[in-house]
Amino acid sequence: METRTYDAVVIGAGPGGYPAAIRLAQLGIKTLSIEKEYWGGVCLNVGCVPSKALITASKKFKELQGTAQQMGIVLEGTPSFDMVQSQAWKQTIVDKMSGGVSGLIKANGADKLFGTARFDGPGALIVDTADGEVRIESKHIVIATGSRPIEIPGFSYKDDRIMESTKALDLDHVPERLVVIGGGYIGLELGTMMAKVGSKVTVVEMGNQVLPGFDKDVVKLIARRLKKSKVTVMLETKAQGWEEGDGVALVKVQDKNGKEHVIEADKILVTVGRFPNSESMLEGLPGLEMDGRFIKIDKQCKTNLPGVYAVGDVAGQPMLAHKATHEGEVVAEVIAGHKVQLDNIQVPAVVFVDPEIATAGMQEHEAVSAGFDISVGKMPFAAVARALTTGDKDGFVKVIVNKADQRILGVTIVGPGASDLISEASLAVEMQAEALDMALTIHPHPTLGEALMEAAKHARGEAVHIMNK
Amino acid sequence: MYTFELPEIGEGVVEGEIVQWLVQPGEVIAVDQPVCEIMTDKATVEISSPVGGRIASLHGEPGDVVKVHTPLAEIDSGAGGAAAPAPKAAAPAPAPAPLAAAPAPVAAAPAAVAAPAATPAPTSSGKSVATPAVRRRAREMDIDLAQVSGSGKGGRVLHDDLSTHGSAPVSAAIAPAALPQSRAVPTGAEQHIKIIGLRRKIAEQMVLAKQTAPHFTYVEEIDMTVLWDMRKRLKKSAAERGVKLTFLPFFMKALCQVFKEYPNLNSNVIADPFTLVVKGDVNIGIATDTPQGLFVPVVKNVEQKSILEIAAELADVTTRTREGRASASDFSGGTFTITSVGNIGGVLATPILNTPEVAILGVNQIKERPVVIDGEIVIRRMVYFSSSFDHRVIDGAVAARFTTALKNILEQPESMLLELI
Repeated sequence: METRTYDAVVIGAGPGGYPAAIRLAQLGIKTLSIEKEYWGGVCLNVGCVPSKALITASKKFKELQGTAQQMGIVLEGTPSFDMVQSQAWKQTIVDKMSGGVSGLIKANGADKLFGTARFDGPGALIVDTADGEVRIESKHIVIATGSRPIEIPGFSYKDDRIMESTKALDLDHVPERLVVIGGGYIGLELGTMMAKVGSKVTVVEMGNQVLPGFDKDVVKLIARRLKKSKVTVMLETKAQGWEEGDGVALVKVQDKNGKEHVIEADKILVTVGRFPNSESMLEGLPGLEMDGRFIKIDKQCKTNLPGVYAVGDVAGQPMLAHKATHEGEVVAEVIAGHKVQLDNIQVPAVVFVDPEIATAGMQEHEAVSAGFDISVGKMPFAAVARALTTGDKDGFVKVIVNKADQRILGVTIVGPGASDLISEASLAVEMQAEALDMALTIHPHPTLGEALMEAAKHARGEAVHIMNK
Repeated sequence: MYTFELPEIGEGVVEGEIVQWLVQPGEVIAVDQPVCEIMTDKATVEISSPVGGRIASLHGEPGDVVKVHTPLAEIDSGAGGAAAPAPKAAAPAPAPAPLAAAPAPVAAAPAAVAAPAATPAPTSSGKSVATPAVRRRAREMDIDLAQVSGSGKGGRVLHDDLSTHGSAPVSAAIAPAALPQSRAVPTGAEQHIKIIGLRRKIAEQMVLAKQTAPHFTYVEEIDMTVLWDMRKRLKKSAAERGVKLTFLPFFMKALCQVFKEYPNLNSNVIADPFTLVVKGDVNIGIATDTPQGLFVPVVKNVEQKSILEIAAELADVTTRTREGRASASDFSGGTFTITSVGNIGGVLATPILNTPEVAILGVNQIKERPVVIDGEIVIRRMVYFSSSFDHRVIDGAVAARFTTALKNILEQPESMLLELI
């Protein structure tokens, strides 16, 4: 078997692995990037990026039937949605991005290898490639193998009717009836998207609210909007199985009272979470310390084994691409001998439902349960001029402030443009800014960002565009 | 009661000067907590306590010289005194996963959100108040932010606070080291500042140089016009390779060439036996102004390096020196020193030798001046080199020839090509 030697190897080229490989190469380290499926990983190929393309398409389609006409846009005939064309458009974006990542790895001087890696003791890997097996030896190995959708009993992804997110993002038609099992953010993003393009969607959630962990006020608003979009949400309900009926899938669910219901579906989307891809690492790498299913890492992304590192979904919550990227960049510098470590105060999160949700730092209930005495400033988009002019005024910004030192503990946004607005809040929390810093920073008018400034003022009892409490 | 003695702090080090105490009597300290900063001939080091407990008393004041194995502090480590050190790090509070791609119907995973403990006045993040950039720089400088008193609002640690805090291995000591250069003292009052730490080292070094090495200063003017243009052209390609190209690397390379003809200029004088040690390596020190005072980091083996390599190394070592991140080896082994005195102003200066070296090159400000060439007054970029030489071993004529040789190279920098190996 051919043996190649590197100074650093990164297994997986997703949002954690590829930045690690690029940074390593930039730092002058002889680096190999190994990928078994697609350059850019799940995020770029079958996750964040394609879902955002389809979500945007569905949103525009829905607008044509609603606000566009109020704004004076006259449509001849009824607009219709061509899923095949939408998929083709999505694919051009994905191909471009994936090719870009592949090119960037190479342009920065790292080698690439397409194949599946397994450990052969510390410091060594065997990679199964199209040209046979290759042995790779390296002083530093970064595990960035990501995660995969959880499969639940009775719902096999091998079945044509059952979809995980990957299959759902590759449909060539709009299913007439869709059952979504799991009301977390992935299920709601895809469910909302399908509802907008005409699917009759039912969300089955085991907990007592959709979007577990999110601010109650946010969840209330989203629930109202789901209802308006004619999405049925069944809370405290358990999916038990399904059977093929007469040309239709019959999904059996049980509500909290033990009562069984049967829901008809053309497709069943299972989004109950993701498991880290860590199992394959356990063989061939004895002694690797785990934290549940995750690989246990320290603040420098080091595992308990010398020369073995892990970043991204495989290394712990939250399983978010931008967290993985940050870890990937840090681990590269750690390997290069820089004195750096994970030091971020917060990891922002964004949910592309309708309207969008975004959080930075702590949410209100988290700050309360952490023992802070807080003041909360809240600014509804209904009082923000720019929101009214976009035709989308549902939602608000909440700024959570620690009364003791006036610092911003967190910001929660639900409403138009939340995903783009949150970065200012991320910076504020990371800079440990005070509410006054945000309040005194002039925000341009008329923009949605004014809501942040106004909410910060509201937390101080100095808001101008809304009554102070 | 535990008597904490000054431990061995390095080979051949028998004593050190207390730069500052990092603890107060009565304070409860943890094991391995730094107690004081001690400056030796080689470096300033933080001395950590091997035991935890309450500080009963401290021996000596900043400025005092203490011998190894003499008592530094009395520490009450008994059960009575040692109210366990306050737990600093907060355990993450059990907050539900906020963002989590957490398995939805399955139980939510515990959040990895940094949540501070409910202490009386929790800082919002559980970290010292500082921007991400300051936090990273502190880590690079080996500074524990919790040990830095921030000068910003609400104790926020600023970049400047890190610079004045200094760092572990070679930290040129904290505030007392540098004499405050500008602080208004009210009329009629006077301010007494102890000359200790680095400032004292500098003072002793200067006295030594003035007393043992009678040195004279020789001034020559150099026409920099050609080199100016050459550097301007090369600057961009250096920048593309991430290197900031100044004039210094050209001077350093030119010096190497001149040393071939005048090797005695690249040497040290030792007292016993009275000897001139002519060096085979060219290790050029660069006088560097830092918030803590004057340092002379050294670029080693200049004779084996390209101008680009010298430039990169120079930038690295001077930056680390300014940030207090340089190590003792960065300051040792010098065979010659350059001091750039023209950055602020002045026509020329008379540098003091960096003993035991025998010469120091003073570079003054490059200025456009009218000069006469072939009977015409033309404007050229001129600089004065005012260099000092140890007259015990270097005579005036040698200094003049040496300087002339240097001038000839720098005025026709392309001649360096002929000597390129």
